Amino acid sequence: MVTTTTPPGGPAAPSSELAAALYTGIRLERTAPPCILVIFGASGDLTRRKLMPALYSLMRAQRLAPSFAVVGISNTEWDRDQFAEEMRKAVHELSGIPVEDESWQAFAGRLRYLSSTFDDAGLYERLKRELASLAPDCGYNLIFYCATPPSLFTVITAQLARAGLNHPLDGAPATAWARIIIEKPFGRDLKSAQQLNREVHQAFEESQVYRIDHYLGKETVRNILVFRFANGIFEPIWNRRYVDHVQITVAESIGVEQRGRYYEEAGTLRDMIQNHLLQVLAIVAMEAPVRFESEPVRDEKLKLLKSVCGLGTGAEAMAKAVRGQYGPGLVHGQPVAGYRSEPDVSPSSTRETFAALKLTIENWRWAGVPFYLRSGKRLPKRVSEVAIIFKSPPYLMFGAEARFEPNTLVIRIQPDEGIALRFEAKIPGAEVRLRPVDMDFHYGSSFGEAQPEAYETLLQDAMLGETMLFARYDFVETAWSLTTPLLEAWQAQPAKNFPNYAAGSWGPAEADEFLARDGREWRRP
Amino acid sequence: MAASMKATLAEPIELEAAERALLEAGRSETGAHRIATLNLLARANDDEDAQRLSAELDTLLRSYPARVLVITPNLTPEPAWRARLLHLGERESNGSVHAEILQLRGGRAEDAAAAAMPLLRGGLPVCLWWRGATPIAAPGFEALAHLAERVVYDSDELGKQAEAWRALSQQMRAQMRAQNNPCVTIDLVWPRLTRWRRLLAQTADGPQGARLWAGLDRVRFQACASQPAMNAAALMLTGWLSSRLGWKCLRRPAPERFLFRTTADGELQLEFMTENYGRPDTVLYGLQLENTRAGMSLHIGREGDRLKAELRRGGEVLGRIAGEFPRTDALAALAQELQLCLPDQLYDEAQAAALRLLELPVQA
Repeated sequence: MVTTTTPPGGPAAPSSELAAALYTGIRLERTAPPCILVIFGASGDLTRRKLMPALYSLMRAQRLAPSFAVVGISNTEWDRDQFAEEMRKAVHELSGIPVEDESWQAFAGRLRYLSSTFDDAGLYERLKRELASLAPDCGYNLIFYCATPPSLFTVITAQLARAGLNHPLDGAPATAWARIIIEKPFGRDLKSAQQLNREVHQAFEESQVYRIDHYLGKETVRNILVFRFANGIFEPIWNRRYVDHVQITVAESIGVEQRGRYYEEAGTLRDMIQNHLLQVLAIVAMEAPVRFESEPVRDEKLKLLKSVCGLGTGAEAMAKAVRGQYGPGLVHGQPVAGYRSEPDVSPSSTRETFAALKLTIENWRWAGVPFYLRSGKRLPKRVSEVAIIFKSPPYLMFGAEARFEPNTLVIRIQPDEGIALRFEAKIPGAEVRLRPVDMDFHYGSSFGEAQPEAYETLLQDAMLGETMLFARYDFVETAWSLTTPLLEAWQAQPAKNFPNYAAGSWGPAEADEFLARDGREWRRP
Repeated sequence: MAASMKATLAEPIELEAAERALLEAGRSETGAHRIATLNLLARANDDEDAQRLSAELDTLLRSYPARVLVITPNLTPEPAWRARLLHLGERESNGSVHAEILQLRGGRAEDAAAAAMPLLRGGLPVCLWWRGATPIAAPGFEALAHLAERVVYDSDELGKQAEAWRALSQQMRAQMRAQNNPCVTIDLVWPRLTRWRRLLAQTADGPQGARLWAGLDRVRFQACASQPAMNAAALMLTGWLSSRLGWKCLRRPAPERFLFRTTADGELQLEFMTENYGRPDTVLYGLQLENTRAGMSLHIGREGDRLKAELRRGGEVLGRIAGEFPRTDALAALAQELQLCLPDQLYDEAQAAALRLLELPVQA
């Protein structure tokens, strides 16, 4: 609702009960409750490319409460109109979403803007006044979104707490809430993650903190849970008795683009494996939660991660992993530069752009089943998938010359989202000859509906208080405790053979040798 | 991916040949991905209607890849069931989702279920979409309904006025109960109200709107129609509001006016207004809610493909909401309805509450 006047008689009675009665059973996408979203870093790339398009789409689909408001904050000297105009351009140019005058005007009417640096205590007093003036019409629920460099997270949380904005405003109904969303990376190793969590927790309770890993918002990642736990036939074979090994691949064909400076600090292990791939691993391998609710699911994911055998330290850790860095090569037939020639990258950089790990899980379900994780930049194509490779039959009766491929279940996360099961079939004819065939489910040709953007799902979940798709502090710390020894080992012994794979290849030869040592090979997705 | 159009055969063929054609089409789908979620039996009035329906099925098939049997009985002097393969394969116009659309035509209506049965895809639920004529005592309806897990009808097609709606709703409820049929019946009037319902819920979900709802004492529905009468959609909306919010109907001072007591112990007057007599279509186009003590009003109205709400206090606009209001033809409504193949308690309660209102005698 676009209004600024406060009605006589003070704030209205809480509307939730009546609204809930009317919302019940409506078979449309969920609608978020009224709230005010405060974005720190409102002129930044994330806000332009992801947050504003997601919010605009949500509003157009009536998945935001009508009385929703956004307060953008950044150090860019804009007024409210300039902010709205910049966001309009961003939504139109960067997301490709068609912007309609009427709906944009309604959206822009909900935007506010404050210009300041984030360490200025005066900003938070101004913000508090702004929120107080919006609340009678927009409701008292608050979400703060840290779309900023990680170094500013704790500056913002501390200032919010100092201003009393870590809880609902004065006069708010008892049901009102205040939440904070933090973008990855959540620290750069175990120590810094613990420090970050401690400082965030000084300002906000864990239940108020929403750590976004946009991978978890992807439809196909969420579908893994449905696939595993809504079907009776897969769970009985989802264990060490039938599964030989699991491969989780997140490949990108792009290089570091304009993120050279960030990547020099991060690398693939921090940027992809510590968060995205370990989240996927947890979802693929966890036990069934007692209920399909946030905490039981997050508990099971944590339990799984705690069962992952540590990598050890030094040489032991390094033996369980492979790293690589791309050199010049051809991607999609076009010559591309090597990592060391990318902008803002040191010409002698030893930062990894490829990483592969072998993890084992010490529990009854998975003991002895290796999980191979790999991720890299400038690989031949953009693809993310989970491949469950099953054991071969105990006795092969079709002759020594028969060529077998193991049954493989592939969950394609992106692109061409879907699930394929590979099995052997007899080629028609007098001879018994076998050929692997795929039973293939494609989202695209099975459901004509577009999949929601991950940020739409996650933003709305945060407004609805659904935490299932957000990373809990203990998961983050456990993930860092797994990866930090390897980070330290790699840092202690910088790679001497970089670059060791050509752009457009599937990574360094060492990665193939790494699996060959176990008598296995990487899938070519 | 296979070619988008596999077969379009104009000539009717024997049912057995149709069954073979379905099997062969499946075999020749090298590399194609055939997913199906249901069998849909749709009644058509004639060949032209069947063709039109086939062309318009995209909305539905995007979400529900299906085998569709369009049933068109009694077309020939000597009734005999034949099949026409209207479409087999992927369809670019619906995002390349695979679909199979057959027309079953020409036989006796009473035998439609027997004709359809061998052509259904095994193991998938069956939805009967009864179009174009009243299902009450219609030949063949009962047998087809017995094949189905879900029966969908559209009282809009049979007149949107309260009396026609009342007769149909009562009889469908009674018939399904008498048959002890576990299948679910739904009037497509209900999914057409979803966006109205959501907008109403949204208006209640904010401080200003909540204040209006807390002291609501006047509701007026605005419909246009060929003659003065209560609009069926407005009645269902009333049934939903009263059942969800616990309004008790005290009396009916006029045929189109009702007096309720709200849970806040206030009185609420509800009125069905019909305007623009003589319009060819009958449409619910507006709804006015008032809290007269607070001087607040909320107007919800259709404007093209938008549904808009405006909250006012006196002359001051407190807020506006605009939501998409896409076409709500029967296919779109059916697509929405198929999201949940379970009995819908809210629908049942809303319909029962609306029927109770119509049974009240007028007490001036």
